[in-house]
Amino acid sequence: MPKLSRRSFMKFTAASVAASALAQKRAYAKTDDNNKAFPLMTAGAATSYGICHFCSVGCGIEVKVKGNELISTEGFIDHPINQGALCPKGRSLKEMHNSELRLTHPLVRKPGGNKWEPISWDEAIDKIAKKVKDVRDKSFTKTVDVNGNTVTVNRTEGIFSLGSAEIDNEEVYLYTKFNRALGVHHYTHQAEV
Amino acid sequence: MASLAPSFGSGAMTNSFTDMKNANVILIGGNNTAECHPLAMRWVLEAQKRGAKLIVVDPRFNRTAKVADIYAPVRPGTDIGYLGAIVKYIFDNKFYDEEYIKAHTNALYKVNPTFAFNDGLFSGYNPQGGPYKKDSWTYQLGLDGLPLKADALTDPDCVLMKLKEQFKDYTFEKAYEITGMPVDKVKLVAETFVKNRPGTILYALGMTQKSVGVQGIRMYAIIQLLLGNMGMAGGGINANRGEPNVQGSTDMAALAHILPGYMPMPSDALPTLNDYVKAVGTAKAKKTIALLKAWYGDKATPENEFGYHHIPKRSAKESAAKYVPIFEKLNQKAFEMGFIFAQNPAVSTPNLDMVWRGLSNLDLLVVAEIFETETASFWQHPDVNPKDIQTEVILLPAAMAFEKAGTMTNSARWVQGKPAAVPAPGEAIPDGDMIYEIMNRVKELYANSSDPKDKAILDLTWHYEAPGHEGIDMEMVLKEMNGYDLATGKLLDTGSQIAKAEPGTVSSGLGGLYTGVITEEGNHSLRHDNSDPSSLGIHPKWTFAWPNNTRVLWNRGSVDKNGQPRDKDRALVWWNGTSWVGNDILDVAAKDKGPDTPEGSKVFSTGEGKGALFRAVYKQPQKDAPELTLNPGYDPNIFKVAPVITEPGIADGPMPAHYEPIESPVQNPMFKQQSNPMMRPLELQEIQKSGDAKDFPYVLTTYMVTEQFLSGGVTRNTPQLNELMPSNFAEISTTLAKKLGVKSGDPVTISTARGKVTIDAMVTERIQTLKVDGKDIEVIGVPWGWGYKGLVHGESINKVTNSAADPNTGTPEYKACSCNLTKGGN
Repeated sequence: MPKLSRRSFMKFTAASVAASALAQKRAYAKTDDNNKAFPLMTAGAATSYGICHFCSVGCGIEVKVKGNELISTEGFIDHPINQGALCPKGRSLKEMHNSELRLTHPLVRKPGGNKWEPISWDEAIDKIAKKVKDVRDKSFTKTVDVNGNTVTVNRTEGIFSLGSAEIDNEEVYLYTKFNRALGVHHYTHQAEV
Repeated sequence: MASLAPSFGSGAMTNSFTDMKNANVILIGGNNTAECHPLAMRWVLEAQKRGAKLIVVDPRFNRTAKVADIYAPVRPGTDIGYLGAIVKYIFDNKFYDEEYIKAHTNALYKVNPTFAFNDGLFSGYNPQGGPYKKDSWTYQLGLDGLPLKADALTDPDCVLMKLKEQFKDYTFEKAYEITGMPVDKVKLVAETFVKNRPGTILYALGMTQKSVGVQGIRMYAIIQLLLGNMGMAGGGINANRGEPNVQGSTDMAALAHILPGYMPMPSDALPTLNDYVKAVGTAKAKKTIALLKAWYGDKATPENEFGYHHIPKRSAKESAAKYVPIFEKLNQKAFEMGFIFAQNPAVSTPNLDMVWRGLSNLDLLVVAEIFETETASFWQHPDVNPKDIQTEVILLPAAMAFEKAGTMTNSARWVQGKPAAVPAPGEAIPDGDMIYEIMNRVKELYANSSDPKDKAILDLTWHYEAPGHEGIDMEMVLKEMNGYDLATGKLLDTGSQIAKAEPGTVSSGLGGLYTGVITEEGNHSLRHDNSDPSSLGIHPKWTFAWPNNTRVLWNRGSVDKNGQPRDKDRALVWWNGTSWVGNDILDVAAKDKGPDTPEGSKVFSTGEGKGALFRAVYKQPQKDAPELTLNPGYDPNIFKVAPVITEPGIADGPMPAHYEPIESPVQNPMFKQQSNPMMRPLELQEIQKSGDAKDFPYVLTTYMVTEQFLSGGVTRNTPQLNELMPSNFAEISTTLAKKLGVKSGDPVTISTARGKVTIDAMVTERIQTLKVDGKDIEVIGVPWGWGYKGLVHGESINKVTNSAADPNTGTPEYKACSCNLTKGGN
């Protein structure tokens, strides 16, 4: 893969997110013509679909979007489990997207430092990848002796990984694959505790 | 799930939320459903409306108890005491389902005559330490390697009689003595649960966060097998899992001991693929080879053992659980670098000093999050000077659920897809995109390497770009997880195709676990047809459930010996004379084999094909295995000689026994052996301290509230939830409050051997003083999800909880530790 500049990296990730957002929105969009006389804040909004991101019951959520703004999250009426209902956490989900406290840019805290400083995606990824190679090469165990037999183990000792029950299946699948390919064997997450 | 898998063959919530309405009785023990799974409670209440009895067992009269028909208090960490009394009650009155246990459990199997249990210790115990020697935890075998069966359930050698013997002393009175649950309550719980069938059991972390977590849930498995409740609509064991995708992340094996799809992780005790196949059995090994084909494509060949050595081998001597060990090793300076994706261990880990001290030993910590958490900002911990911490921290901004397309798996194994609805703010991107990009960059750095160790990275399949645009497409990842027939290039339809295929001719990143989720027909995780023709809450066309879209696991157990539903109102599957049909997809048994054949009568997928009342160590032998000399490394003939399924047993015993929590206010009323004899020794003596009842007379337990979720990383940043639950509290009984002169709202100091925290008291009737072993026992309850970041703050109770853990799962004993409580702030 050609090395990407920060600019092109951002461009393609943003494009991939936006493209899937648009494609899916089209699939789900309905014209909401209710309440023409007394328009609600949801009038004219596109409807999309989400799954609650708190406990593991997996409630369906009707997500209302105007432009890039998430304006409401309500229970999805056709979902067999929640049948349109939600708990207070599920109802609050739009705040998770809209919050001004969200992290929006990569940050770095330097050794001994007392604050977060901005770092570009490109520099952050570069730093991480180089450190992975450095620590992996330094702390790699190719073989161990087990009862007089030499056993190939291919373990990276100096890196641990935690996470995550909070990300999508595809993402955690890639995370496992990534960690195992690196040789990481100190690997676990929330499910163990 | 380390207790359900050895009992039944695989471990997950067996039924579904919408199935709970079919129950005639529901026991909730170790789960506060109304508080922590509010929309699951909808289906508990629906069952109650239809006449079901609801039993809640909990140290606190919680929000779920408020609507229960029966509430019974229990001392934290002692559930096996009253569950043992239920088992004894079933035996004393012969209330077990005789036909079911004879046909579908190992009740009749003869146990090795050298097996024994004395004063809290099983045979094979080594007083010098180390694991049990398990060679007596076996069956008497015939010449064919199959277990010998007793003629009658009264045979003293048979499993059923061993089980009866194991629980003969758990009277109702003894249960009271152990648990503090009044005798009449124990009796009422036992009668109500046993006499109303089908019954289901709900549990969550209230059961697992104990030093005997696995054995407690084994009690549920034993009771449900004895009553014939497994495989029934309205029956089963419903583990209500805690996080939005914790079922999925467990399936994806973000764990040290397994690979995605529940195949064992290779270890250094298994130097070659031949060794691995022999140890794990051919059924699982075929799945592992399918995974290696997904990860290494054409580079995975029989000659290189399908890339077996590209995957690290864990140390067979070290704990297979890694959570607490990682923090121990961090303090021992074992790591230079760490990744933490979407997890907040600086609030959620027991004995929190381990965390911030440990993380301070890293060169580089990489955290991916949507909000700034205590973990990302561990260097801002109130007890430290940031200048003293030389760790560089990179904090990557992540997209949240609605900002990315992908699937999540709910507790009931439903793999539910969702689109990206809105763009992520600023430069935030999905975690998957970060991982994809980091690996691409690592691959570039290694591009010119010819070192064999780097093949694991260079040969790794990592192309997920959809035609038409750059960047990663998650549906491509889902397809890899589902798997392909490598000859035709078509997506696989069911996991059983992997069992039938020659190893190396099919691929699946999950060894077939999710196969069927996305096929040539389309992406089933996006199906939104909520029809329910049977009215049993099956909803067969709503998204997809693993395995094979089966909604009720072990559902072959719902029929009689003729293949007809045992309960016509709850018919899941049945034999129509030529094949199995029904409202649900048949689980485990062969679709075209009659109910009287071995393949058509199989209910469970254990090594024996039976539900394990006694979890023996066992290997299902290959039929007619030839005498062969195998080529070293990998020889395809290994699949003709290796065992089919292997059962390695459970670390702390083939049957449960009552042990006290590691920190306990009383002597074990059952045995001289005080607590779980298989506890892993802790590494950090100056941090992981243990206290006794003399200094710490009360029992501390922790939990969650509806409005503040887990570590609070999201909810403490959500104003509308903070308005509902703005601060933390410590629940104490009115008796203790009176004794100490504490009123609601007064600050109190809770101390353990690990330290002190100050929290405001909430004096409540919800917690009652328990009578145990003639002593008054006070329980203190504290929600755990508080810290120093976010919009609302509070001291983390995990500063003082205990990191001693279950020896099977590594899950720490958050639910029961010894504490003191004094009036006033720290």
